[in-house]
Amino acid sequence: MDEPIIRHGSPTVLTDLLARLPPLGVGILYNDALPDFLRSDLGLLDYVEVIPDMFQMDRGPTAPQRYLELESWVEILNWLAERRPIIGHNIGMSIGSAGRFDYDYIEQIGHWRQRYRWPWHSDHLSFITVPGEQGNDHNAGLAVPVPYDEDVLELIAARIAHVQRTVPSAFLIENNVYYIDIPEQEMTEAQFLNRLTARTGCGLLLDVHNVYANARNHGFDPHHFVDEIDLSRVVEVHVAGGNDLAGMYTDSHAGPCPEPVWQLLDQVVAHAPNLCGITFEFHDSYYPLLKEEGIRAQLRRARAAWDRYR
Amino acid sequence: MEPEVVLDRYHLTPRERRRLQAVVGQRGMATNCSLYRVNRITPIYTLLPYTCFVLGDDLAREAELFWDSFADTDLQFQKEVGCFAAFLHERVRTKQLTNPFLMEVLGFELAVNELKYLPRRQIAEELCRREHSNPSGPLQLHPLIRIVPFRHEPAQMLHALAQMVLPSFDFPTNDYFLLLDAAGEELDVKRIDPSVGRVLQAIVSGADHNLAPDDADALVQSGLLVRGPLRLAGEHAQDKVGIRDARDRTH
Repeated sequence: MDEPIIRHGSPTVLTDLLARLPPLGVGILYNDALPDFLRSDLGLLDYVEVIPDMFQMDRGPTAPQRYLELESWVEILNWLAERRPIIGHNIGMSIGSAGRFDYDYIEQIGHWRQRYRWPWHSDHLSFITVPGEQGNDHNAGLAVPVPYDEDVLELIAARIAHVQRTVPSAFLIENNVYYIDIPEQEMTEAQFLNRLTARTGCGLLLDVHNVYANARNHGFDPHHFVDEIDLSRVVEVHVAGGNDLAGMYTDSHAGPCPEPVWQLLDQVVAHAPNLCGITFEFHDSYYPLLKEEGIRAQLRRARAAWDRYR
Repeated sequence: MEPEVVLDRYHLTPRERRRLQAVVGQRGMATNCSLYRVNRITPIYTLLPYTCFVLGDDLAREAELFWDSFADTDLQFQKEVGCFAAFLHERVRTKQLTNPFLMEVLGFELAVNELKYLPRRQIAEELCRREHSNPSGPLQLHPLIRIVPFRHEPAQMLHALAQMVLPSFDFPTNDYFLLLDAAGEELDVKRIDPSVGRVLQAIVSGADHNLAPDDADALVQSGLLVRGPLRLAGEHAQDKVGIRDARDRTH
């Protein structure tokens, strides 16, 4: 990969970059229940996606040595990196926070990328960091959706540009799950995603389980939503399962994917020319439900979709 | 609290006010609140499962009280758990919470977590470098060892908890000490003589241990103690916390 191009890339150059990313195939999002499975079944996977935040302790922006790597976790990561490509999936950018952006965190992502050379990485179209009572930042406790407004698009586009300058690999934004309807938005979700990706040249990590959950909770047709998305921007797809909580269907990564999610996956894979990976996500607490054979079944299903169109 | 009072705390545009007033009444807010609770209980339940089990029906109340008192979380697992542990200590100290097993189980799990996240290779290398370099330095517990006092017989306690059975009031009580040793590949847990446990605990807390030089040398030779001072990179970082630059660099 030509790093100087990425560092000084215009949206057009960055868009071209999406078409040159390596088509990897089927992957899994790493969790604490997986090491044994990965040792025995790595052959089912073309890549492993990791959340770098899980492999480090963040002692806060004012700590002299802010990030401490968790040695035993990094040993597993190194073992994986010798055998499969690693993809970074971040959870801490809080790219939609009004008034606050953690530049040191982006630098730290750059360090991880330097070590594991991932071709792309991602984070969510949401925010988790909010100002606390004492002027410090604190975690909202959940990923809060951003309003689809012009000024929010401007704010996030500038931050994505910073990420692209700092971390020399393609950046993808992931569509969020949301349980509330923000009134008076200036754009639809699809319009916002299309404009943001066109404006910045970033890719899209299309989480089709999030699409399914949003459609189910807010009463729209998920296939129509996918039709409205510029699928040439989709580099990666997430598939997962969920369950009901307090009257809504949630993206809890609770075991196997529901059938409609596989149908959405088929729709995307058939029409996304730059798709490079399908990633299965599950929460480690659901490992006893899935077990090894359950994970294999999900990966085989994802592989079948990949093979059908690639 | 009235919605207007809450909203007046912030500089909001009329549209932002209308949005917040609209979403707060939506059914999805109940889901958001539940997700908040799930995300905050996850570090506690993940790193302190026995403590949660021993708390039993009190867990929900204590967690809610903790979240009320500590809303400004960054949701870093170890920090969250450390703050919850401090909260429980205070609740027990002020006798607002009584549970005969809680403190020893909590102490055990905190020690296990601390060892789990230590940079073991870095510590081992540092110890190798320093071997024999400071034979008269102050005594310190080996950095990969923790001492946990118990009031109830620890083997029976931990066996019961591993079976998800509440400890029995019939378990023998005395001054027991568990030694947790993370120097090897696997965490080694064993009961030690209470007199040794008391000495090691005194050394950890900086209290007077009255250890004869020969005994001190023997404990160093056995690997339980090292000659300090030993400070690793990043240790005690909180001592050096500066003023945070909270300016938004996007503007």
